[in-house]
Amino acid sequence: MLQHHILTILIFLPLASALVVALLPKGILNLSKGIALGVSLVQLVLGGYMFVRYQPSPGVHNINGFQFSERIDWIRLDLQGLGKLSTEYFVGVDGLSISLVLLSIVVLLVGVIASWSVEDRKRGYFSLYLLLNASIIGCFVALDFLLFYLFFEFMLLPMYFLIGLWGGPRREYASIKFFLYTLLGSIFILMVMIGLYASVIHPEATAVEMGLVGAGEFVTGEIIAEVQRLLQAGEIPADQMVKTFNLVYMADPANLVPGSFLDNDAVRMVMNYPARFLAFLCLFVGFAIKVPAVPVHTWLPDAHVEAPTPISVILAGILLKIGGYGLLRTAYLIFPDGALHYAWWIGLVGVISIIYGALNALSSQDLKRLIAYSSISHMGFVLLGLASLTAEGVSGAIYQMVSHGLISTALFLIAGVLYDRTHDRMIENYSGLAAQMPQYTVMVVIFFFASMGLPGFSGFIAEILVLLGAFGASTINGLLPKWMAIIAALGLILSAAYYLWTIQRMFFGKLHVKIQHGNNLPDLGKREILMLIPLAVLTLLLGIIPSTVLDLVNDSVTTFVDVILSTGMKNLQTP
Amino acid sequence: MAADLLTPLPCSNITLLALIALMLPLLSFLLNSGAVARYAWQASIAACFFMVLSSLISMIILVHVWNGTTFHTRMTWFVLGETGHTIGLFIDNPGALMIFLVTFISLLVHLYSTQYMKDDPGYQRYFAFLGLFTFSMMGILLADNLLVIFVFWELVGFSSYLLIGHWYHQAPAARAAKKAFIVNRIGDVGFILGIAVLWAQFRTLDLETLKEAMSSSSIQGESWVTSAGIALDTRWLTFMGLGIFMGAVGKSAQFPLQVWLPDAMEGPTPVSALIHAATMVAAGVFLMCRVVVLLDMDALSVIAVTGGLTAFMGAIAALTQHDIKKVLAYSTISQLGYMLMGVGIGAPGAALFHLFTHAFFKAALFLAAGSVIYALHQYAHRHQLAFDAQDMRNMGGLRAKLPVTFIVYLVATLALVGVPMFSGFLSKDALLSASFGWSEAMASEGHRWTYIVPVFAFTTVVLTAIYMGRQVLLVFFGELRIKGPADGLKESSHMIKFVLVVLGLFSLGIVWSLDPFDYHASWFLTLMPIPASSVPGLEVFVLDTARANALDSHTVVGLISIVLVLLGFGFSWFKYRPRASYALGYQGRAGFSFLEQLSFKNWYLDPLYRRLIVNPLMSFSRAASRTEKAIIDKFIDVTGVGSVIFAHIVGWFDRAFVDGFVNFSVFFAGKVGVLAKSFQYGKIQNYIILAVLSTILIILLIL
Repeated sequence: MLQHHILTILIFLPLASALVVALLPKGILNLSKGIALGVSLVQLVLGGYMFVRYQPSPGVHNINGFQFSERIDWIRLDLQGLGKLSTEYFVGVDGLSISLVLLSIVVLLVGVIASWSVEDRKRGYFSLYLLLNASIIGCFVALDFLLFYLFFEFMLLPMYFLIGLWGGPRREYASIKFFLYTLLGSIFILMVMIGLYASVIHPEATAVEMGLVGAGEFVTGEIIAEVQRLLQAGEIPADQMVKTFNLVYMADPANLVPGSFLDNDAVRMVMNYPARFLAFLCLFVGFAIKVPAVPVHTWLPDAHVEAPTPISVILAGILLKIGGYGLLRTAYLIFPDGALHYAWWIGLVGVISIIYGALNALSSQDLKRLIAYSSISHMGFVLLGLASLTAEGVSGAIYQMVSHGLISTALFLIAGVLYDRTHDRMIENYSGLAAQMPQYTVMVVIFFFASMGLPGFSGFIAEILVLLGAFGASTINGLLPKWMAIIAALGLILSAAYYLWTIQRMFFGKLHVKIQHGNNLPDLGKREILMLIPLAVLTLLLGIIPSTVLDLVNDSVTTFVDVILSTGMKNLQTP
Repeated sequence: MAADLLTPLPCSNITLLALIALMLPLLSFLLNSGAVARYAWQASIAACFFMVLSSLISMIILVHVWNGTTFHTRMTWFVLGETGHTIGLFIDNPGALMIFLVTFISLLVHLYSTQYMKDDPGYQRYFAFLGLFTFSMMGILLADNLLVIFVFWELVGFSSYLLIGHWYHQAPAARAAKKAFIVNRIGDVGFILGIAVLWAQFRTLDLETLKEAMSSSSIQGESWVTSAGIALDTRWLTFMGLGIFMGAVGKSAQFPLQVWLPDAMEGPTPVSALIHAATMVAAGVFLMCRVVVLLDMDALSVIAVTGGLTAFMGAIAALTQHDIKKVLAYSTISQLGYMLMGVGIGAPGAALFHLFTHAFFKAALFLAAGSVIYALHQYAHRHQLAFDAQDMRNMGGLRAKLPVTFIVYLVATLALVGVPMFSGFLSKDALLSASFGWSEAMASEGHRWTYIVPVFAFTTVVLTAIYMGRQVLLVFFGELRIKGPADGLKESSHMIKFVLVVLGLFSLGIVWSLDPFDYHASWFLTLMPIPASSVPGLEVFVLDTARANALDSHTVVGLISIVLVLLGFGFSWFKYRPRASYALGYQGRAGFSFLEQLSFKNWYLDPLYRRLIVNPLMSFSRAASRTEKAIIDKFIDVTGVGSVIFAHIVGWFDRAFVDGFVNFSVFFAGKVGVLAKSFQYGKIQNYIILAVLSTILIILLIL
């Protein structure tokens, strides 16, 4: 029972609670916090259950290989000449998504605790927060493109309001920038989604439509193979084709309608460019904005600087990962030929993000802006690892997403601690804080070093895996030149430089605070410690026992890499 | 690749003991960082006790590997794709000797620190970090795998950062800590890239397996091909060696990354003794000895020259320093240069031998210097005097006041300079002979330039005698240059004296060899395996010839070095003796000639790097931030404003000309009006409409 509905509960519990919070009568508004916390705690328990029960297995391109999956037909429409439309409520996890679902649960819980001090318009805040919660989880578990896209877009709305209403002085500019950027990305994704819908059939539903099996009967593998053979032979009439948004079917080239817009064989050209490459690029740009990759990243520093602490935490801890995950699940799996064709460029974008982000962090005056740029730099490793298409690189990319999720969560909490006390984040206004706030300084040192990839913390494993993968790609599959890994490694020096310089300026030296009311600097409170310590423990755990995550991920990543390389090569070879 | 070699290896009693010895310092770290402030003293005593246990265990291990047995335990750390990453402990003779060295000196430094640091407000933190350091250092020595070594390698750098920055409220200490870590990071990036080459080639980082894999690879034309058929250009073989060496260059403070070590003297003196003289900085040498069998001829030659050059540069810089610890720091750089030169010239055994003797006499020197500083501090405190207790210009004549410190200092100095009967003579003689033998062998192959290495090495012998002679004369002879009452300047506690005497004893030649004139008789070198290198393309016979040459020439070399030492001491006495003009005018000494400046400022490396690296980097960084604002964001903002203006124009066009579509026009203009307003008031609905309209517009334009 729980096995099959757990994901649905994870999504709909916060959704229903959002409604409840929105309808709370004025007198008991304090309950809204409690509800949000309760939802997150239940999710934590469910997440724990999933972690224990998850059996390492590939998933990825095998429709039956997903775990905790639930699959229900959702919308069936007969579009006459355009064939029949089919969308499903299809959720499930495999190695590509399980670690990110777990990460989201943890970060969302931390976010609730960080929101505890919100008093302004509580009802609105927590109902939006719960809405965000539902759409985040939905995004990571959806296996139908339409469903994924719905959740993906649904995240924008609460995020926009949470920044725009509860943010800092320039919140309007920041929230509009965030909104327009991500909306632009969404449009790119939407275009590809529509194109894909027109090109992919649902083999099971088509079999039923063709009368090969009766409605409701079990469709065997042989029948699916037969449908696919008939499809490729051009023997299925257009009105019998049932088109689908199912991501797993989309990833199987045998389901592509011959001669359709995104078919392999008929290389359709758009503005003298193969349509499939263009589609891959659109998806890539759409998700690269989320990651964010240079040069489509400038919404991030502004959004972070203006967002309230818990929203920064969610933004850095989870939302950026949806960019990386989207690339894995859609762009790479559906267009492996594009992934191979553009590997060099994706690697380059990754390397540029690493270096350019780090350089910007180095010259940042504002602590939160510095951390935001360090996020850009660290997310560059995700792109580099993905581009390498080696087991190390892709595992490293996923590991980096998890690790950065934990570490950046802590880093934004750390920036929030200072901001809560003084309403000032300028680095130059502080010095010698170690004397005044020793516990805080310990946390800062721990997480700054974790973020710069000190061994023992999760970031090290992620970055070393990405570097090994990126470097080894030249001998394994020849996708990336060696200099990319070499340049990326220089990012390690830069991150040491900007973090250590910040520690030296803000925390070491003689105590001196150049702001009014700067004398009131109590050390960490209980609630702050409660958030930071578990994060530190988790980062250490993942740094010392990497198999905690890698065992979940490994089978799927191996399959992922094999599938992308083999399908991609095959697609590229067909004229 | 060699998957059968990567099977897990079971735990033996010895490796279990090693694991305990490794974990004890970690326990000490946890205990000291977790203890309530009230129990700081007890926690530090527990730390000392843990170190006693750890060194006893190391001794037991040493006894078991003495006959050449090796112990190896390995398990799978994590699995990636089909390849497993392993983690394990590997103990052979050099490793066992090293863990003994580290635990023993760490124990002595712990004991010393209980006195030296007893009034420090950061006492508890200090002992915690000492534990963390010892743990990480042991990790480097015991790990069987380059990735795991790298893990501990960086942790050592981290604990060094924490300990250099112990007095973090002082700006120079904070700066020095940062500099040390960043400079080490530069080296570490090279290390990572070296690891990446090995991984790309062999799919394993287990050292024992790598040795096998390396010997079964071959050079075919321009490519370096493994037995599994993976091929890389041969340049990557050299690159790999140089990459790992870069790690050692950072950690062992070699040219061009030696700039962090002098600044690291901002840390407490016992830390300088343990980390920045005896153990951590020697980790680079140990690492290179471990991987020497993976290095090709080009990499080895670069290492030899870098080592020789650093030995020379460090010795020159030590000539003119005024800070008692800075002299020792530059001397450490110089001696580490010798050791790495030893690795490069195919004498890793001699390099390790020097590492050992150096660890003891240099720790003795630092701790004795600490004793001087401590005594002067107490003196200043007692009489309310304000002067820099580390500046030799304020010292002089301390021989009578601090007799034990003086004797230990003298013994250690004689060992460092390489006087017969003292430990340094043996190990330095081994290195000097080897350098001479190597250049002979290389020259016979047509590489006459290699004579530069022994030239550096022998010149450094003279320089070492000069700067150490200068220091001993200026600190311990003549009269105290600080004017103050005669009383109150005295030896510190018995614990400090005890530690000094122990270290002094280990600086005597007899401990290391029964025949104090012949290093071949040393028990240490007989324990050192001669590495059976089988790197493809390596001219093994050259290294064999070099070894034979060294054997032939060692008597002559020993005599030459004695003459050089006498020359150096003679010069020193002539120039710095108590009644010479230098010593008389030393207290107010400020004016410098260019050459003196060059030495005093360490070859102007810091300003050079500031101009060549730091400043350009900061300009790049500012340029990136300008690009961000002036180009990318500008583009976004202009696009946003532009689309509003465009919408206005369209609206106006509709109103003015499209009379036929009155209804549409009204509708659209209304929308545009709201749209325009929305940019002033920031209403979300309007943005959504703007976005939708723009999308439709774009689609219409495309179609």
